[in-house]
Amino acid sequence: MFAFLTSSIGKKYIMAVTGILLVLFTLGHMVGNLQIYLKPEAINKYAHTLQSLGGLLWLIRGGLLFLFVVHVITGITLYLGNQGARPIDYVKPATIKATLPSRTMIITGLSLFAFIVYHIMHFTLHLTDPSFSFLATPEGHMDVHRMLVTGFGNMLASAVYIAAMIALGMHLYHGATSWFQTLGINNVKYNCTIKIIGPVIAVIVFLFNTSIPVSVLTKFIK
Amino acid sequence: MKLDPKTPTGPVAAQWTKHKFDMKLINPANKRKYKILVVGSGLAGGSAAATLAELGYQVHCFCYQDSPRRAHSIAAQGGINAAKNYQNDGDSVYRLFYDTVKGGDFRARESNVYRLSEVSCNIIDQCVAQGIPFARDYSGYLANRSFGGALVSRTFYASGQTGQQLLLGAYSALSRQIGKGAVKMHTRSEMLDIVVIDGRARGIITRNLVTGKIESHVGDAVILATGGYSNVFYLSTNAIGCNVTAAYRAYKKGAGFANPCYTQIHPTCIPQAGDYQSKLTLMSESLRNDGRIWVPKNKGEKRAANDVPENERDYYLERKYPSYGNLAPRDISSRSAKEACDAGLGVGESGMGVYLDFRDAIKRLGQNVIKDRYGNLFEMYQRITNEDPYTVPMRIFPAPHYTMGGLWVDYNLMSTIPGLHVLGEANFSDHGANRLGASALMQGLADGYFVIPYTIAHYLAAHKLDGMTADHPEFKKAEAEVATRTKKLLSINGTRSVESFHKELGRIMWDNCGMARNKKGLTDSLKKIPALREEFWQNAKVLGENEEYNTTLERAGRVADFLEFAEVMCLDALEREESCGGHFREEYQTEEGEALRNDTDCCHVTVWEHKGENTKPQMHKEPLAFEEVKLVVRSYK
Amino acid sequence: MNLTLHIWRQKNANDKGKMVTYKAHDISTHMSFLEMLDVLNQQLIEKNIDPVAFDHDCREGICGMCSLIINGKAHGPWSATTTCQLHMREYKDGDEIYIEPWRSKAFPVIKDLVVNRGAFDRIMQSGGFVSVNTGSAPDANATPIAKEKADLAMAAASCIGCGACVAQCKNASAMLFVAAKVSQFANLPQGQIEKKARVQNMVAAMDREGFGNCTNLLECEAACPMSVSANFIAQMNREFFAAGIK
Repeated sequence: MFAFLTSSIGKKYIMAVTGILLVLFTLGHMVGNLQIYLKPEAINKYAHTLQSLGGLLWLIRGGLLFLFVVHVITGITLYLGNQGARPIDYVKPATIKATLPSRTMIITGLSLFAFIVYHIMHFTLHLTDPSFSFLATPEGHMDVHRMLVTGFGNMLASAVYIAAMIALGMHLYHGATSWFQTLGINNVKYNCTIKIIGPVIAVIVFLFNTSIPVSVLTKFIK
Repeated sequence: MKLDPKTPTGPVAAQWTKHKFDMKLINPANKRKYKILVVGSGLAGGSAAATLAELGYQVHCFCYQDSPRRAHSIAAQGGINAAKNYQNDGDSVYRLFYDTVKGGDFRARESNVYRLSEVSCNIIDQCVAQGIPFARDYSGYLANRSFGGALVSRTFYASGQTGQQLLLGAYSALSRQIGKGAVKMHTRSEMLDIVVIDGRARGIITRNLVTGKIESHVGDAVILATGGYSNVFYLSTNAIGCNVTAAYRAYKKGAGFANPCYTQIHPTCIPQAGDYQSKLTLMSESLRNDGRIWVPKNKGEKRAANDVPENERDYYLERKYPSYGNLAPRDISSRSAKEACDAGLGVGESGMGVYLDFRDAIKRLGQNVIKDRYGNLFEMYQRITNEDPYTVPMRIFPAPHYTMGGLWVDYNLMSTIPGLHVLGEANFSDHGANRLGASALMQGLADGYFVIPYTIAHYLAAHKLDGMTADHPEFKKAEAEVATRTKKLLSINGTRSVESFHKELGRIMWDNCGMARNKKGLTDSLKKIPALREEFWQNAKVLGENEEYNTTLERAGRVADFLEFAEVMCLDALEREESCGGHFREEYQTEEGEALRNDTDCCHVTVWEHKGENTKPQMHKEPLAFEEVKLVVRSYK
Repeated sequence: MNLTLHIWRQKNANDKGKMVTYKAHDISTHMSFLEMLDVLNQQLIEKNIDPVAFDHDCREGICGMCSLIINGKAHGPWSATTTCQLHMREYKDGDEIYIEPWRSKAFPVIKDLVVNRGAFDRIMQSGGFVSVNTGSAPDANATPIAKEKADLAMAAASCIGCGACVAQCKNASAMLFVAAKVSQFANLPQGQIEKKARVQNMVAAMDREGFGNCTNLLECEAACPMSVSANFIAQMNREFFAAGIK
C-alpha cells in the first residue's frame, strides 16, 4: 500500500479521492449558503445547527483540513516533480488540445489556498472585521445573514470572492472531470458524459456562489 | 572455398527431424560458458538473441539504431505465412514448401525451404503466446488472408502492421532477457569488421556511433542478422540506415557471397516525386487483392484517370495472366509495370507509374469495407501524395525492396567462415531468385527462434573453450584497420558530398542491375563503378572527426562499402545468363517476352569469394538438385 | 520556397547548446520535412558547417526513430503523423520554423536534435513482455480471443515508442507509452498471468527514470502519431490500483 501511494499513479489517486470529497464539500457548502435567498432566519438557523454540533463539528473541520492539506501538499509535490521532469523548456512551446484550466491547476489551486485562508479569517474567525462577532440574532445566536450582507457590502471583499470563484470554477472545470480518468472509471460509451461533468459542476458552483455577493451589491439581498 | 551445404540425407520431409537428433547438444550447465555475438536486432537477430539467452548462453546483441525495437523488419505491413491450414482450403507444409520453391523460380535449396515451411506453424504459436494481437474473426479465432499470388489463405496479419507487431514481440522477448542480464545490448553500435582467428569467427569490431570509440568484442560464435542491401540502389523501400557493411566486411574476411544480384523489386510503391527524394515508400501488396492495375491504352493520355473510359483502359495483368490477374507474383507485376512505362503508357507527372484503382472494389464492397481493410494505407498514400485514393486511383511504381542474395550459408545457417552464422535477409538461403509475399517475416523468425538455437549448439559443442580475449593480436590488428579506414575517410577532404556519390551509384545500379539487365549495361557498369569509387576516395567530403556523433562519417563508411559491393553484384548479374525470378536478362526471353530460365547452365547458387583489393573475386557454384519439386517453367497465365 | 529555420544545436551531451538560425533555400512543397532537413544539411556541408544531427530511419512512419518538436508540437502540426511523413506543403514561402529536440530529463540530448530514449527500453525490460520461452507455446488457436479485445489490444500495441507523448506532455510524463504496453497485455488472455507484477514493475521503472506525472491534459494522445488513446491510461490506472490492493 505504501508503494502504491508513493508511486506517481498513487499520488494521482490521492489527488482524485481528496478532490472528490472536496468537491462534495464545496457543493454542500454552496447549497447551505444559498439559504441566504430565503428569509434571514433560515440561514441563521442553519448556521446555529452547525455550530451546535460540538465535537462532531470539530471532527468535520479536522477531516476537511486533513483532506485539504493532503490535496495541497500532494498537488505541490506533483507540480514540483513535473517541473523537474523537464529541466530545459522549449524555446517555442505550443499546446495542441489541453484546456487552459487543465494547464493552470497549480495557479488556480494556490489562489484557492490563499483565498480559503482569507475566507476563514473573514467569515469564520472574523479577523478582518472583529465587529462580525457582535452581530447577533434576537435569540442571541450569530447573525450570519447580517454578516454576509455587511461583508459582501464591501466592494473589495466581494471582488476577491468573485475572483476566487473564477479560480474555483476553473479548478473544478478540469478537476471534477479528471478524477474519472485517474481512477480509471472510463468507458468509451460514457466518456462524452464524463467529459462534461466537470464543466457543468464548475458553471453551477461559479454561478450560484457568485450570485451571493452580486445580490448583496445590487441590494437584491438586504 | 569449399561449399558443403551439409544437407541431411533422406526424404526432405524427415530431414529436419533427423538432423535435430543427429546434432550435438550442450549440457545446460555449460551453456553459460559460451558467449555469442548477435549483430542486428530485427526479426532474425532479436529472436535469436532472446532465444539463445533463454537457453542459457551469454549473448551480446548489437544494433545501429537507438533501440532494438527500430530494426527495419518493423516496416513490413502485409503479413506472415504459415502452413496452419486453419482455413481448411488445402494448405499444408508441403504446399507452402512447393509454393516457395516454385515462387523462388527453382533457385533455392529444397532442404532449407522445407524446414522453413515446417517451422512456420510454430512461429504463429509462439507469437500468439507472446501477446501479439493478430487479426481475428468474430469467432475469436485467427483470421487469414491470401497474399502475393498464393492460392490458399495462409497469411496471418496484425492490422497493416504485422512486421511491427512481430518485431515488438521479438523485442519484448529480448527485453525480458536484457532485464534479466542474460543479454547485453549495445545500441548505436555499428559492426565494422569481423575477427577470424585460426579459421574461426571469434569476434567483431564495432564503432560506438555516439562516442566514436572502436571496440573489440570476443565471442565463441558470431551471428549476423544485418538485413539486406537494397540501399545499394540509393532509392529503395529500406530504412535510410540499412546497409551492406557487416555482410560485406564478412565477405572480405572470407565468407562467400551468394547470388548478390538477386534483388526483389516490389510492385506497389509510391512513385518518386523529385530528385531530393530520400526513399521510396512501399504500400502493402495486399492492396492488389482489391485494386485493379491499369494504364491507358493510348500513349500520351492527358485526361484525368477517372475520365478515361473503360474501353480505353488496359488492365494489363488481368489481360496477360487471367488466372492470377492482379495478384501475379511480384517480379511479373513489377516488370509489366516497367514495360508499360517504357512503352510510354505510364501515368503521373514523371510518366513512371501505373494506376491501382479501387473504384470497382468500392462499388462492390462499399467504402467502409475498403476502409476497414486498407484504411491506414490509404491515409499514408494521401499524406504523401496529397491525393485521395477513394476517389482518384493510386499511382504505383516498382521499387527495390528485398534482397534474396546474401552471405552463403549451409543447412546449419553457417557461412564459409566456421562460427559465422547468418540469419534472415542477410543470408541467401530460402527464397531462391524471388521471395513470395509474407515470407520474409517467416524466414527471419524461423531462423532466429527455431533453427539457430539448435544448429549453433552443434557448432559450439565441436569446439573447446579457449579463453580467447581481445588482447589477441588479430583483434588489435582489426581494430587498427578500422581506425585507419575511418581516418582515411576523414582525411579525403574533397568537395563532393557522400550523398551524391550514393545517388550516382544508385542510378547506375537501377538502370543496369535492376529489374531488367543486359550484358552491355552490366559491362558498362563494371567500368563506371570502379571509376566512381576512385573519385569517392579522392573527392568525397566527410566533415568532423571520429570522436563524436558523426552522421556523415557513418554514411561515408556505408557508401564506401556499397561502392565495392555493387561491383560484385554486377559481376554476378553478368554471370547469370538467364532470366529467372526477380530479375530479367534481356538476352534471355521467349518470343512473347516472358522470362527464359536456363536450367542447363544456371541451376546453381553462384558464390563469390573475395580475392583481395582490386582483384576479381573468384566464382564458385553450388549445384541445386530438385528431387521433390519438379523443375517446371513457372506459368501464371 | 525559402524558409527560416531556428534549430537547436548542441555539440554533445556536455555542451550547453543554443538555437541557431539558418536559411533553407529551394525547398519543394512535395518534400517531406526530413528531406527538407537533408537539403539544409547538404547546403551546410557545402559551407563546411557540421550538418544538423537528427534521428531518422525508416522514413515511413513506423520505426519511431524520428522525433523533433516543430513550432512547439511533437512531430509537427499534422495529427497522427510522424515527422518523416509531414510534408512541406504545410508551409509557405518565408515561414519561420523552430525545431527543437524532445525535452525531458529522462531523454538527455546526445547531439543537436538527437536524444537518448534508453529510458523507454528500460521500462520495457522491467515488464513489457509475456514470459514465454521459445518453444513452449500451445497451438495458436487454442485460446479464442474476442475480436473486440484483439482489436483493442492492437490499438494499444501500435505504439511506435517514439516519445512524442513525453515530449508534448506539459509534465514530460511517459504514461501513454507505459499504458499502451500495459493495456495491450491486459486485454489479452496471454497477459493475465503476470498482469499484477507487470503494471507494478513498469510503473516503478517509469518513476525511476524521472518522467513527470500525468495530470490528464491529454496532450499525449493529441501528439501521438499512432493515435494511441489516453483511455489506455485510465485502464492502466485501474490495473495499477487493482494490483495495489490485492
